[in-house]
Amino acid sequence: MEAIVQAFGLIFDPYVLMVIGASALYGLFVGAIPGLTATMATALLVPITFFMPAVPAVAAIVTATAMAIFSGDIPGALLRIPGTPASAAYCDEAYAMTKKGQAELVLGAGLVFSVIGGIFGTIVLVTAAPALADFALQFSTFEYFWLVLLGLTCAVFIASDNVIKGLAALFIGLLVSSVGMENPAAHPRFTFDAPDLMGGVTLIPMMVGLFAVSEVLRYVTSVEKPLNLAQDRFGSIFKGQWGLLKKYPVQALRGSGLGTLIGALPGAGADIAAWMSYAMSKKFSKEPQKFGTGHPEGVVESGAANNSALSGAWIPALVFGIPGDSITAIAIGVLYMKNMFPGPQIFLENPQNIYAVFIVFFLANLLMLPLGVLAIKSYKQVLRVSRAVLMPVILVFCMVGAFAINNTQFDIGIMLAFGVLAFFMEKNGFPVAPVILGAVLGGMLERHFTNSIIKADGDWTTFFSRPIAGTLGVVTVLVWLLPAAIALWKRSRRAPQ
Amino acid sequence: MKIHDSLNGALLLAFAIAVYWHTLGFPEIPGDPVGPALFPRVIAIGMALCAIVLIVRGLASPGPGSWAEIPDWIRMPRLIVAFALVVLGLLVAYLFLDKIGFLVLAPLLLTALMLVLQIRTVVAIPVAIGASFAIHAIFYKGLGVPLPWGLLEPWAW
Repeated sequence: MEAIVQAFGLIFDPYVLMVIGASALYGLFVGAIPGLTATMATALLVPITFFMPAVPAVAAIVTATAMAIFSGDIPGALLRIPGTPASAAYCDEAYAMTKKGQAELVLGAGLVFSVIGGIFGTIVLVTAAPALADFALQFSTFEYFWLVLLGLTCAVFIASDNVIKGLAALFIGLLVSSVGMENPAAHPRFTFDAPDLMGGVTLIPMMVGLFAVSEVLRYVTSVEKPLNLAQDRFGSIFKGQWGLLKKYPVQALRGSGLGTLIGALPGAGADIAAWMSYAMSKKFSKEPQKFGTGHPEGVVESGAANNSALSGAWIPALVFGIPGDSITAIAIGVLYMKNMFPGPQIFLENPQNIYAVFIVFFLANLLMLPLGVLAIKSYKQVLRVSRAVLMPVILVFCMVGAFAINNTQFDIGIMLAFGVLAFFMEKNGFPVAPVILGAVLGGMLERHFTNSIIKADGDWTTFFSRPIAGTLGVVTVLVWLLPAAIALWKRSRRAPQ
Repeated sequence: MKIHDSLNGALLLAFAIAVYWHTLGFPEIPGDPVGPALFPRVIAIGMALCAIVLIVRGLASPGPGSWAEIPDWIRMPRLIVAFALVVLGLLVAYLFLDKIGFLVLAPLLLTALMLVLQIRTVVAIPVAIGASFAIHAIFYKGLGVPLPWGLLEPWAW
């Protein structure tokens, strides 16, 4: 109880509230500009949060991403360009509604059901995380080894559409994590005698490169099409929303539930949650033929799903230190720098910090209602900011941000290298998210493995002999075998015909 | 720039072999049953397996026969210049930021990029200078990041 009071004190501090307000506006802006993603918003925010205490730093990331995922809906509905990949699933549907003269209804639905999904995900986070943490206290290095491996496995096998390319990306990330001296043997690996590499590849410049510099490169190599707003003046945003909620309560709940679950799976985030929810909505709909013609049902369900996924992703991140998506992977990198190591112990040692994160989630989702209306109404003005001006400024900001982490030019080189890498990976169909997950989790994987082997005195069977570890191990192996099993099953079904 | 999947695989395979070869120089640590080499070696082997699958699948698939797809932007000199400016700008920052100084490099890079992206000169130059000073103020004054002065050292404030 004392911790909860402390947590309120941590959040309702003028400085923290100012950070939340500023990050909210920043997140809305970034999400609303086509081509700037929520992940990029996080990556650009990190160099600034680096100079803040842990609670405002996390508050900034949580608020900015929640806002960006919602405001990505605005260009989807008005320009037919998703503002963030998480809005892509229902972008055409939303635009079709705007064309039917229902811009207010679809934008309002995006906003209201984003808030509902966000709050739902937060409630699950608040109830599930401490209980899971309690359970996780009994975990030893064996369980953690399997958990990390299971997390990485899910990231590749569930979240990417090309398993081999996802795996290749994961191996690149794991290799990055092995650079430097911070391994159990303390032997400098892949440092090539560069003193800057002794401590390993600095994660933040790497993330800025992967998620921001690559976007800038993508922008400057694309031919910009003029943005034509379908509508620029709006009536009441909330009119008709109550009706939608009464008509589609199951859809809102199902979207929120599925979103939270997908978010909590490592590697799969808001984008995949939205796609899966949209598909699910169509499948269970009484009027599936209306989908794609400007029908709000799918927007309700997947609009709730992408925001609930954001909160869901924090469950494994806070409890096990295993990020649920690339945004929480970045956030975990920030927490490490603040010497706040996510894991079950943090719930015992610093519960006020965890409660503070929970409060931020509620606050951010409630703040979204008024600020979201503001963002919709002023969207015409937002679009007047030219991307041709914005992108160069972002580039210089990245440069300074990468430099600022260790005050070294070397990190600008790291950022450049990963920016170019991500650009070419994306062009060739390799997903980028597994790279960051591998880089964040590789150290943990190796450490838990080495410690376990030493504890077990070299006996490999110990990895399966503890009940929880054994279960996790079996599940991991099953997920590995799943694609092969599906392929075999498909082949055996095709054969008789 | 999209290249054929079997080429992607070949690149990855070469890289995996280089990684494995490099780990051969890692020492055995007495008393450590795992040692520094195991983890990178497993990664290299995994990478090589992915690479082989990519090569085999790439060669087996009928698909488009070209080894490399020339992207549209390569045909537009303006976009090549923009791409080169981003990469070279960061490369120069990586190598020479301390010699040149942030407040020299940033306005030049910004102006050049905006002009290539077809922003009018009367807009580009003031925005470039304004944004550079604003970012400098935030990081140098606000957050205490020692951004190098370089050529402007005598006038540092």
